[in-house]
Amino acid sequence: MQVTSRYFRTTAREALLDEDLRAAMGRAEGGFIDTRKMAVEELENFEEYREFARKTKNHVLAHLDYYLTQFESNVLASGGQVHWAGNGEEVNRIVLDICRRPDIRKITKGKSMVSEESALNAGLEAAGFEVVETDLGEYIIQLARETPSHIIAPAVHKTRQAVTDLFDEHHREAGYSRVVERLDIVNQARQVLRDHFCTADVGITGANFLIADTGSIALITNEGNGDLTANLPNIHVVVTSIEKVIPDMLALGGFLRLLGRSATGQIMSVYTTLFNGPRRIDDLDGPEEFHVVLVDSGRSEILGTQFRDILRCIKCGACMNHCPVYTSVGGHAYGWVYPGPMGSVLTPLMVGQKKAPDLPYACTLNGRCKTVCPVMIPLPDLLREHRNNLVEMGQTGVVQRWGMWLWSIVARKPVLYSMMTSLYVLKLNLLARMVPAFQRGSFKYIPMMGAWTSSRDFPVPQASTFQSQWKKRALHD
Amino acid sequence: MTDSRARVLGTIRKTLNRTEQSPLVDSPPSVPSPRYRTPLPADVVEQFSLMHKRVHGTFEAVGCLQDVPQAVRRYLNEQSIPIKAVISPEPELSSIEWTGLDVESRASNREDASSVTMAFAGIAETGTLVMVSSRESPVNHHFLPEFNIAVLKQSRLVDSMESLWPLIGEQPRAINLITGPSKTADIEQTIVYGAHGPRTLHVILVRDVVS
Ligand code: SF4
Repeated sequence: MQVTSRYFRTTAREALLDEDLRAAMGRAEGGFIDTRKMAVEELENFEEYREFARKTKNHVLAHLDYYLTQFESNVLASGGQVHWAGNGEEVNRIVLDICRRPDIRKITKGKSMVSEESALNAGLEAAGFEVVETDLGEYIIQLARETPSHIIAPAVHKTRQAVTDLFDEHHREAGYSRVVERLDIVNQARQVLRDHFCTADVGITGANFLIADTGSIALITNEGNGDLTANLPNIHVVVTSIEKVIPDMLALGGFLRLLGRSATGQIMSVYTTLFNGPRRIDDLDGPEEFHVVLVDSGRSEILGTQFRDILRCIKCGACMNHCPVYTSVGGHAYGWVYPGPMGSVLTPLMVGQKKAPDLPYACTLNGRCKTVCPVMIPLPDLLREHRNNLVEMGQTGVVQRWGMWLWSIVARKPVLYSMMTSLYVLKLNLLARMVPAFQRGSFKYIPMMGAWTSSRDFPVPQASTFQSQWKKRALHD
Repeated sequence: MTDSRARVLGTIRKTLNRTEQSPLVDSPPSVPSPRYRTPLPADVVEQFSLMHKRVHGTFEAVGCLQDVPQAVRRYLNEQSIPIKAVISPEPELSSIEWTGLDVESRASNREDASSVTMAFAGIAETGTLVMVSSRESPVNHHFLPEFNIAVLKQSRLVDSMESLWPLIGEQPRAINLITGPSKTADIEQTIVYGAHGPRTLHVILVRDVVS
């Protein structure tokens, strides 16, 4: 996928002005947070599971070669084929080589973020194949010729109205009528995609976990599209990345208790399927061929850096659902496959820091992402590492460098710091007293910070700064 | 792509400061047992049906296998769809007298509106049906038809996933863990049932355990 992360500032600013996007994101944010909270609270020892997941992933990463080769030999033993891809180009070449046969025309595809990295769809289409995304969200953005804006809800930025128009535009010719209600939209997609499922020659899916001990790939969906993609065509290709391997089925159970809860607030997703190779000799259905493409694309290098922790990520999306920057600007502003906090850490590592210099700053360091992450990735710390690296490389923007220089001078001189901050607080308080609209406790607009407040309200500050309150308290004690 | 394989594994070993494949692996951490704020019912049947209904599944219990056809008929009637179904070519389902029902025992296709399958097991903790593929249990039965009826024997209920794995011998092509009917929240983050898989999932529990 093309990297546009360097335009983060511009695209983010545009996103903030996009009313439709704001409406869609506003609706999504609350839902994700509340349902997750309920599901997590119900499992009393959720924290124990997070600890288990962190340790298990660290253990696997420390023995990654062992587990990958164990996984590989078990896939081979069950009759599957394993392909190793060092980078995105190799991914596309491998998949093209599998598909290039005279009788292969149509390819259905279950959601796979790894395949987005190398823009596999575009590669296949350029070679003359018809590619149909089957996850409803992915299908919608495919019709809109867009890219996913969330790793588990790829069309989260689309309003229902937008989907109605898209379906009308693309389905009308086949005799379908305009659909407005949610149920009708889903039904129409069901009918249209049924035809594709049943006539596809190859099915490409991702994987959520690779189980070393048995050579199984675990695929999790709610719609069932992953299974129809995998079961109906004659060839099933799994495009996945090397850090997804886990030791055994017991470990899978532990991860499943975390993933559904963290992602969508579900105790268990509807379909969790374990695939082991192609159809057996007397099976009545299933593909004749089973391929697994193991993608590296820089992950083995990340393993040796201070960013290793990000490889624990199980792509649940909780960090972005809880991120004020993500929920304000949406996923596209991040300019590559992975948005939100995990994307801001991963993108610079995978595409190069120079191509994504702003992402490490797309963060308020509020720490919510770190608190909800089911594998305990210290996301704000990793973003800070990125910032340090950027400063060392002299890669920060002029504004940031001057701003930080000024701040560092002021911050080192307590008197100056308290003077400046008190002044600002005083000014805001005066404003609040003078203008009735501000008296509800938050500002809709702050002088000199218009860009910041147009998408969120700034709380009217306490009558004094933290520092002066602290001093007063110290005197009282 | 053997080159890529060597390159990827080589880089991994280099970054892990090793030249050889890691020989011995210290055992991975063990999985905690779940503890719930509101404890689940002690009885596994109750647990299963509670969790299964929470995800929009429907549930009924019958006394023995021979009661299944009547239950299926009643269910299809309620759904106002033709009294016919594709069934898994499985010995126990095949041994049943399917009077008053038009059943075909074969793989399913897109014209089949309803299917009757035999669950390998059920997981009480999550209300999950476990399907294990074989010649007797084709996979598409669980996904193609709009109405899916699964027969589950009480003796096949396990408390958790951890108790399931030892029951599965040699790995089949597919193990399907199914928790409720198909759904999507891709339109305005609001749940709609029947996305690509079955719209409804009805479990008929056969009480084959003498208490
Ligand atoms: S970083 Fe953590 S919270 Fe974010 S997607 Fe990955 S696992 Fe989920």
